[in-house]
Amino acid sequence: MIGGGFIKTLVVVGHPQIEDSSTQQFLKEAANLPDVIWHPVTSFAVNVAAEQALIKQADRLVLQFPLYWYSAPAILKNWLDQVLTRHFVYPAAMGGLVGKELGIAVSLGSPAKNFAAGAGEDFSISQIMIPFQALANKTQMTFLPTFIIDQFGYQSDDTKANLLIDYQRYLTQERLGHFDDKTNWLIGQLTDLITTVPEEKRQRLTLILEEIKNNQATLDDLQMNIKMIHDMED
Amino acid sequence: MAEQTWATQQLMALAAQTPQFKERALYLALAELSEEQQRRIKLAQGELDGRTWNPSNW
Repeated sequence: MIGGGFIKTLVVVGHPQIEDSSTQQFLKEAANLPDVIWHPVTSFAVNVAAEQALIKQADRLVLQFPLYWYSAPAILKNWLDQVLTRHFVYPAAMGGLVGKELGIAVSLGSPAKNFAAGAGEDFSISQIMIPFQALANKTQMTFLPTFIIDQFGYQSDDTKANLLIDYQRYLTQERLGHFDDKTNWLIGQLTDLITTVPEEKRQRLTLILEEIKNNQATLDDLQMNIKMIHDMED
Repeated sequence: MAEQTWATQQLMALAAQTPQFKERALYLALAELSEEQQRRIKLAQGELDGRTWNPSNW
């Protein structure tokens, strides 16, 4: 379960031409992490029991797709319709989704800024994702903020580097949007990297790791003191 | 722009020297984290000073 330090994430990818999509190939490479299962939906024929078993062992379910007419492509909608049987998902029945998190990773062909009231598309991504949010509510999942990948082909190398880390965090960081959890996530990645590099680099990276941990401790102390003063002022 | 910390400088240098995309991406993210930590430490120190020297509590 979430809270134990390791989130098991199932990424269900619905893309009609997944092999031809540079966005999806990039994300696939990024998702190559422990505790992440990359699961492309490639057929309209679905083994419902096997798919439900995959969902059951995950803490976080991420539906990933390119936005097709403001919704998921047919191949993913078909998967949802077949796999999420009432018996499986209704909290009063099996409650197979209860307590899990639902994330959406959506790729857009046009700039994300167009998705706002008064802008080109006139509707926000949050509005467009309401059916998924409703699904999360009905099945007692926690709905996560949607992860948006816009105009991947036009992104610079540095933007793509940013995207890589943000996407990896979206899949595996505990509480999204918490600076502390982001810090811990990055510390974890650096700690893992340190075990794989040559000795000289290891020493350099270890010093960096120490400084980042010290910063974190300093910040924790300061915030604790501020909280104490806040509490006294109340 | 404030002066970069030692860790940030090291991480930026490592990013510049590292051709592997994933490793480079991690260095860039850590450099950003290190800067954000400094910003937050400064803000928190400022808030702590301000609240400690609040004359209404003298």
